[in-house]
Amino acid sequence: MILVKPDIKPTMSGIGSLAYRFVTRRFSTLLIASTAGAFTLNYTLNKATDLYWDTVNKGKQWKEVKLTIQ
Amino acid sequence: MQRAVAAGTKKFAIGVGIAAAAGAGGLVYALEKSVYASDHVVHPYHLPWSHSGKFSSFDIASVRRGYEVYKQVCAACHSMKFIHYRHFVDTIMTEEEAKAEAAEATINALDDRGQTIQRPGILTDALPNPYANKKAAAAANNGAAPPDLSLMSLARHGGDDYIFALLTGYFDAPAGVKVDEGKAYNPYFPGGVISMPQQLFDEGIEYKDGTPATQSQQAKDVSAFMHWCAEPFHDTRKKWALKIAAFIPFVAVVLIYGKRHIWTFTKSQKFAWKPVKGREPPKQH
Repeated sequence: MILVKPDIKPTMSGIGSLAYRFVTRRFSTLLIASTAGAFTLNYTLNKATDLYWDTVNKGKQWKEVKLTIQ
Repeated sequence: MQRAVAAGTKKFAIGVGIAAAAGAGGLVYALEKSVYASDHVVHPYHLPWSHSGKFSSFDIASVRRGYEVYKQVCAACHSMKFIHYRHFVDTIMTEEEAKAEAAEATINALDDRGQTIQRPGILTDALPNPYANKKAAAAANNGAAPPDLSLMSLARHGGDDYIFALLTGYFDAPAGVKVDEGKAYNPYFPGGVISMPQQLFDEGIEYKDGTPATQSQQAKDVSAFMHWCAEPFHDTRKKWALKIAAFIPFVAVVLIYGKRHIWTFTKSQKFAWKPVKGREPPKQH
């Protein structure tokens, strides 16, 4: 039986291959990336949802009503 | 052959799944849309509450006015035993306001020697019960004890709509309906005859924030307050619903990718059994 080695081109391009070369190939970089990603996603998601919440409920919340009380 | 059977099983499973989902959905829809025609009651109309949206918070200004209505009108007969003054702090009142409200109330308590005393309330006190017990409440109200209002918003069909309709729905009884002395006619109350006479009137109270206290304004505000009491976690709940709904797409991408990654091996395998000469399987007869 003859094994034919698939022809892998050394020049990879695209986001996927970049991510593989610099992030997902080693566990250390993957761990750093996923930790940073978790913090970033948590922060942005909270910011975005709070902004949406405060926009649709403008003027109705206690923090706003509090300012109108002498 | 095997693949065809597997595909057939998969299609069957999908079909069963869709049918089950449609059946469950249809059942829920049918139960929701029931006519309740057997009840001797007028069903409350739907109102556009500012907190009824999926991601809508309470209108706290309205809740605050509702507390004024409760305190000046409802509290004369109805207790709110699950609500304590501390619940108001930084949710609908400042700490000073809540302390002042508590201090205005007279609380039945015990002193150090176990004697019953009356003292001004503090933040950890519950809203005072107007009657010593249920029998005293019934005796003072023609035999019908006024129910506790802590959870009333969630305890009646129609919720806020029902409370609003009931409070603003007093009419003269139609011919043929007998209303006893001390009772009132209200078509939104099951049976039509209610022990509570009309309580809310235009300019019946005066709001601190200067809002004109019409009957419907008071009914709206006290409905909002009662809903706030029944569901103090309402705003937090809806905010978390929003956050989780926003997070689901990200989780879905990770889970779908992970599933496909793990299944790649299984899905791309192909097994072939080739008979080796001299080791053929036994022939079927």
